[in-house]
Amino acid sequence: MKPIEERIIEFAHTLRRFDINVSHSGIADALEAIDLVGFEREDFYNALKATIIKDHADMPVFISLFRLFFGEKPKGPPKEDTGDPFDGPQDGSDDGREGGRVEGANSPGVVTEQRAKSRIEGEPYLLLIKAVRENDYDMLQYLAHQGVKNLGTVHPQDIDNAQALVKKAKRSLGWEKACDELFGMLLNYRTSPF
Amino acid sequence: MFSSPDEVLDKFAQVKFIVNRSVATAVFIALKLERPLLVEGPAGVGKTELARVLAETTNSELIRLQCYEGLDESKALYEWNYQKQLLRIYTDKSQNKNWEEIKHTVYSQEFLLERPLLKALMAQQRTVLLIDEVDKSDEEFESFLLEILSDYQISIPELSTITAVHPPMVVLTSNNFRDFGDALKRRCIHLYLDYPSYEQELKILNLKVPGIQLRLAEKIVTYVQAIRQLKLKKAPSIAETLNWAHALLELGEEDIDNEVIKDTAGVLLKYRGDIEQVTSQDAATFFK
Repeated sequence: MKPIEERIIEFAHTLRRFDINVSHSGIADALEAIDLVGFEREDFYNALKATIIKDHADMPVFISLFRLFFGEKPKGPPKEDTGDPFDGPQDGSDDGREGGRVEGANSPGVVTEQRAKSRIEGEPYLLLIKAVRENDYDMLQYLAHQGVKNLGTVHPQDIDNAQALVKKAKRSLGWEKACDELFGMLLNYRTSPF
Repeated sequence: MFSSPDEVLDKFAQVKFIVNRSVATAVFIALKLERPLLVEGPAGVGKTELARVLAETTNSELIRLQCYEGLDESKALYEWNYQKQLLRIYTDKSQNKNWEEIKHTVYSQEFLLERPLLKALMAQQRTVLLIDEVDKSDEEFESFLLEILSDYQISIPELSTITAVHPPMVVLTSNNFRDFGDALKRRCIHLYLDYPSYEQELKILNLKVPGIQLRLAEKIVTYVQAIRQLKLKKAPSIAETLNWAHALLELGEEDIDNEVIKDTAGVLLKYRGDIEQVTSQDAATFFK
């Protein structure tokens, strides 16, 4: 099996851990689809999306994990498929979008709350929050690995400044944002009458 | 047939159907893997149109099955032409034919009323089978559909088993009226079709309403895109954007202000509450 195929399977298995229903046939379709469209970033992304995801509400998690597995977010359409992955499906008018919303975000005069929000959603920090909330140690470990991977090549002399590296790795996962959100949730929880 | 997502984009554009690459890729994959394409998304974004365009660009016949609650096999697949059979039996009897002979004749293809699914399976060429609003049918029908879409084969007990020589290109649409079964979804390539982006909608508008001033077109699209973000009962579809553009053109309007919107909101919005909500807001705030 080719390394990329293994990577796709690993990706699919990780999606499952986030309660996304990924079937065997979905994975098989994905592999076939990749054979058809190749690895050009956008096509690769679109092919995985069309074959693996069967529920639009799963898109934010898909996007977050896609970035972790296959690097930087693809240019163009994918960015617009956003929405908070852990609040469940939002109502129709409000959830993710297919194609071209990125361009839409630049359209003159249309700055809405939703668009402002879409810039921060669908990021790895959401995975971090979920992992913390669910005591998912495996996922935390996994994210830590990814954080280190995100550093790219590390030169021996960089090791002296380990603190800075750790900071950089954390930042690549959206660490601070995750902390903010988690503290926010904690505060809400305390003051909530329930 | 298409050889790449780019070709899908091109061919669709030739018939003035503007989609993005994500849509083209899903269509391409579904065709290549011979899987049904499940298209979801809000009303009026062109889900049904996609099937029509697919038929047009592949030179195939479009066979449409509209789903509704209570739709059953006799309406979707086939039915025996009961009246015609009776007539035949009467004539045959008058000629003193025995039942064995009669039975043989009345259960033949001549007396079969083909409904869309059977028609698609028996077609001599590849067709596009549109199963529209599949979420409106009930669960029994859905499992029946799954069976057909798995092996493109059905059995008519009195006649024979029919296997499609040219399995149709299947497009299913859903408005998420009901969350339907995983098994059927698993079978499909999934596509979420949403309202077009600003650029796409502007392109569509220019294509479909030739002669419109660019400045007015931009304003129309900006406005429509903005009110889609509001919590409306029914957000304006692409067709409504086009209707509105036609209306403004007919009225000779060159700009959009509160008065124009008040006069023409009915073209864009179909519910009184929506109209009130939109017209109560100063139009200028949408153009900021």
